[in-house]
Amino acid sequence: MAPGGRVKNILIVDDTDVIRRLLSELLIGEGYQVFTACDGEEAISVIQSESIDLVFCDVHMPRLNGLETLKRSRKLNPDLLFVMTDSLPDELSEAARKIGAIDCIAKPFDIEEVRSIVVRAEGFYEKVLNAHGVRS
Amino acid sequence: MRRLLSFSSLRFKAMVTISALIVLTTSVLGGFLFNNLRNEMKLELLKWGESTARQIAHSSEYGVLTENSSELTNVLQAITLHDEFLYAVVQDSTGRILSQYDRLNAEELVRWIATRDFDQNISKDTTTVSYRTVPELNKEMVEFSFPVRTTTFDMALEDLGATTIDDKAYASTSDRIGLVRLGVSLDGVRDKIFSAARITALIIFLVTIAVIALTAVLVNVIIKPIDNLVNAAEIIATGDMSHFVAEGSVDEINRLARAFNAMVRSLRDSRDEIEVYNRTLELKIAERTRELEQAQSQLVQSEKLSAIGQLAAGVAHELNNPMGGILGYAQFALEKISKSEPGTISQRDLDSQKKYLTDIEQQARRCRAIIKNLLKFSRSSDKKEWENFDINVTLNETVSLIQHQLDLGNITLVKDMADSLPKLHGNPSQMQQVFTNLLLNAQHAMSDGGEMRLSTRLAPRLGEFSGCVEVTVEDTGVGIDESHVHRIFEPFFTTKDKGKGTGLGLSISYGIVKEHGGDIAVHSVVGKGTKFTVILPLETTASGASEETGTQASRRAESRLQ
Repeated sequence: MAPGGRVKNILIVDDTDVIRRLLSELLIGEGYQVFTACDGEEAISVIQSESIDLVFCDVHMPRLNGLETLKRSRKLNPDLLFVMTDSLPDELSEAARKIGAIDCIAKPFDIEEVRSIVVRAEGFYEKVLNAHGVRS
Repeated sequence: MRRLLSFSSLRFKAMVTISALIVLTTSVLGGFLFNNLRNEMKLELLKWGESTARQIAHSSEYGVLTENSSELTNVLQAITLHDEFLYAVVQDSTGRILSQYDRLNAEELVRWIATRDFDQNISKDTTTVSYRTVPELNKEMVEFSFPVRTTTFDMALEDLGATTIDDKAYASTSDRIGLVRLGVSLDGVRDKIFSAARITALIIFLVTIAVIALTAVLVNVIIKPIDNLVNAAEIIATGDMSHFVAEGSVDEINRLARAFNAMVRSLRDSRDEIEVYNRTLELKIAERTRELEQAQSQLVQSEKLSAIGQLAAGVAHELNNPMGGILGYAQFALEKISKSEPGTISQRDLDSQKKYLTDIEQQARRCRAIIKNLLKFSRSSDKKEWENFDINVTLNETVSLIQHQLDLGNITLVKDMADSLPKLHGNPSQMQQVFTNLLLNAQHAMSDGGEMRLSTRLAPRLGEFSGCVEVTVEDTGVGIDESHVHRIFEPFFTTKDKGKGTGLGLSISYGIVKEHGGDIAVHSVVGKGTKFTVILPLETTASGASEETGTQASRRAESRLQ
């Protein structure tokens, strides 16, 4: 059950309490180390202090929205993997992908969908590391 | 016709002036002619009288010499044929009357006349003319006196062989042997003069009349077209451009008439042109207005669509979060149950199942709340449920519902209610919703507590303004940022943390107040506080009453159908 890949620490950014709790429970169940943040500002500070591999980030948030958080986070760490969560992902996914998100999932999401996204993220992580010339 | 009677009309002035000139001219001319005629006649009379007197004097020579009265009477008999000769007297050189003719039968008077200026008259060689007035006879006359001379001596001299006799010598030698007096009445001449004057006057009169009549005709010929022009100008001045003046020959007036008609025509043409312009302008304005209205309605439509889009996006976003929770936890629960072995459910599994279901229930409740608010927002309230209500009572009820929350938030509520406000017509529970919203918003703006003020006042009816009730909710909280003020009534717009508000409260309140014909105004200063003013018109009370009776009637109809 525990992931054998490179992805270890996952950050969940959402202003809705139930989503944070749901995703945390789900990913902890999968064996990941999970961090949470209520908005973009909080997320940035977590990214700065912790070694985060993957971020699930809501788009509509007070203070700092998802896309801004993505932009700023990638400045801090260009290899950071981002998955955006939103009610209307179709409109957003292209813009999000352009600035570096690997995927977008629509709320409300199936828990299986989240699991498969994490698996895909593992694959992405491998590619990124290969690109940097690091062999696992 | 009225123009003929007017003293100020051109026709009158022309007629008076021309008539006066004609009368003056003919009078002067007549007077001159008459004077001339009179003089002629006088001269004629004088000549006639003189020659007659001379003739009598010549004829009387023998009679005077012989002092033969009957001879002289015969001589005088010649003049009796003419009425003008009043008398004739033949006197000898001493003044004695030798013979006399007297038409007047006034012998004494004639004798007296014969004594007048005798010596003076007899000494003259020419006829002496003297005017005499005889008051006794009421007659004017002219007396011609001529001396009677004898030429016998001269003839004797000729007979004696005197061949050369100069006039002087003759004159001196001619002897004055008597005097002839002839009285000629002036009556005849006067009558003639008078009749001539009469005829002259008559002719003058007739000529004057004829000339005045001709002038009148002439003036008419000139004035009538002018009159026509004036009439036409007056008609045209009233705006009737279809009127024209009759044109005739080529005189000045007709040139004027033609020019006038041309002017009217061009005036009419330009007026028509202006009318055409006006009409096309009106059409263009109507067209533009239609276009503008279309554009406006399109704009409104697109605004509506955009509002619907925003609303839909907001609804989706708001609902999807709790739906995410519901879906996720339901799937979790299913997973756990399907993995657990039948008959052996551990306490731990039971606890987590309970937790999942609680979460599902909570999120479902949140969905319900959102949907409920959304329905309130979308549903236009049923006016059949409207009633007359006292806003102060509604506000007090609202306050009593949230008083506990205000106390918890350490908030002092100051009420300043106007007494005896007129009743409003509307939905009091909706109003309660509006003010609950505003009061709770105010509370949320003052997280550290503070003073809240709730006041009502009456703005009375004034002119077209039907009057209204003003309710103000004032807080001393954080205030609203200027960039947010115009957005606060938008659905799902909120400055509160997620989960604390749906963002529909103010927008629903605004909808309710608008439906009641009122308005909400906001005044806010960041850091100082916010003041919401709700204006509710009184007019709806009056219109609502009749509506209510209609509603009751329809209700009765419904109950009968059931």
